[in-house]
Amino acid sequence: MPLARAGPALLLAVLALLGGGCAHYPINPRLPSISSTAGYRYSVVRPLPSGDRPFVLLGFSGGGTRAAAFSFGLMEELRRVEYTARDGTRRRLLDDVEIISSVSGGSFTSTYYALYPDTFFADFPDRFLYRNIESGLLWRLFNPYNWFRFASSDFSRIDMAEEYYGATVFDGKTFADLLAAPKGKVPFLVLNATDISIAHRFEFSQDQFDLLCSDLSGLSLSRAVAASSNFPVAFAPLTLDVYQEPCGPLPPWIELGMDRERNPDKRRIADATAAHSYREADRRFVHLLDGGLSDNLGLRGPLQAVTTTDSPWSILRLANLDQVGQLIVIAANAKTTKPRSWDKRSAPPGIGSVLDVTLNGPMDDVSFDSIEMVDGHFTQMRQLSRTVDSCNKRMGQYCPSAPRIANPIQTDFTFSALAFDDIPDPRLRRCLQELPTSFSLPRETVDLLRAAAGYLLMNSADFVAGMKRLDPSWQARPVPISEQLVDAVCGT
Amino acid sequence: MEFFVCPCKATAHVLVDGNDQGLNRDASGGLRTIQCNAGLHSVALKRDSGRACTPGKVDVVIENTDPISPMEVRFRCP
Repeated sequence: MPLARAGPALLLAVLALLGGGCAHYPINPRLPSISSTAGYRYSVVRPLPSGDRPFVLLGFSGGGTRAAAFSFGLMEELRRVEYTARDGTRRRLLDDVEIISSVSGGSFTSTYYALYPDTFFADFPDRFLYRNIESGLLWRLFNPYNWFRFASSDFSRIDMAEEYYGATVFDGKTFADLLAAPKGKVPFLVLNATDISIAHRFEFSQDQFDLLCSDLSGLSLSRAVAASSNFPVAFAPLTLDVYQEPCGPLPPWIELGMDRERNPDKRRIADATAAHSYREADRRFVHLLDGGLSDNLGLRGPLQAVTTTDSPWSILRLANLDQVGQLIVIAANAKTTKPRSWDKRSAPPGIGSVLDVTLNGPMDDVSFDSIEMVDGHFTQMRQLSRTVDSCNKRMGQYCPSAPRIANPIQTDFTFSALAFDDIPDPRLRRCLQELPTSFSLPRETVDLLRAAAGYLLMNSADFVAGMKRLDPSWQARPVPISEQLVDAVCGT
Repeated sequence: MEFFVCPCKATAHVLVDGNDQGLNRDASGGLRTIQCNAGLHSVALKRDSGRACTPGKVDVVIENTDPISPMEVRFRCP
């Protein structure tokens, strides 16, 4: 009988369906009580910085493998940058990196470095950059076992992606593994996603998870990276659980910041309101998409840290403690600029083009604003500092008996934003600007992006000037980009 | 960016919204200027000796300041 012969297969299918129907995303664990000296926090991971050394903060943008390779190239170049410190010792600038804040594709690079700093440069290209991640994801997507799992409302494509990243790149490691590293060995990692319910940046730090009364230590790094690179439509939002049981009070700035009458800064009110929302009674879950939707450069967190004492890893607080002599912020921005030919004809662009603009246009705008805000803040701080110095100089001339005004701004600010737009060779610039956003790029393209990052850093006037202030004898090295490589990627 | 000082007789740690921002005085005894973002802040002083300053904390709106004439958040530290 056909039915009898099909019986075992049918039984298997039913079992798979039942098993699949029970599939569930990995639940982030509950935190019984908040401890400011435990969990993945800046103050736990890093010792108090020394004001004698530069405080280097890196921002890695989104952009799939293109962004991962570009940020990897920046790390390679930083490894080569050596300077003479005030005490006469030679140091690598890479060893002064305190914080890496990353988004989407850049989060693969930052997380792998934080996890495996000793083997990062040798292993990461083969484990991620040269790998066809897209085909790996597609194989899993077309695996019938996963179809049954997708039947569950608590398991989606992003949970499948997380499993793949965990198995192939991050070896199932968790934030507890990052905490196991000796204090100060690796930079503090800030992985950024977007909380779509409140359209606000969401970072994977214990300070953020305190708001959810959840223990970040038990969360896999692949889950955080999946959330950070959770591109809309391609994947469904990633879910985290919010625990209603009280685990401890909110940081004081949140209640203070929510006072609409007495806070002139609307951004502070928005940040405080967003943080407070996790403790509201009806907030049971968080749904996350790509960090690029709220900040595609990974610069919004650093900007809050530099401009406020509210940030859990406030750099302004460290400046108040005289621990930040020179702040160097470097942004690896793998933004592309695609050529548009729509305006040459009357017919409007197709739905694909419109979707592309709808998704990427606002992200590019936010990125532009982020760069302007960081640059503007640093310029303002330099002006304020100069004003105090000029005032003292004038007083010395015209009122020598007046006491000198102590200058509270003792930090030297350097901001360097690396972008393909600054490549002088038009052929190479256009070629890089038109690269696709995907998790699979040819080896030569990856190598070209690595070289481009080194070239842009060494040709960044802001970076070179900052290094000269750090060590007047420092010289930027020439970084040639192989013509053969350019030909191979961009055509002759 | 906003700037304030905490005049009082003693040397104490300045807490802004519960976080230590360093001492209120520098090595020469002059007042140190603390930087913060604009808005409502809770400022307190904490002395190493454990002796209290009054008031215990000051909720104050810090805005429209500059580094040449920082706001004064006053305490009494006997």
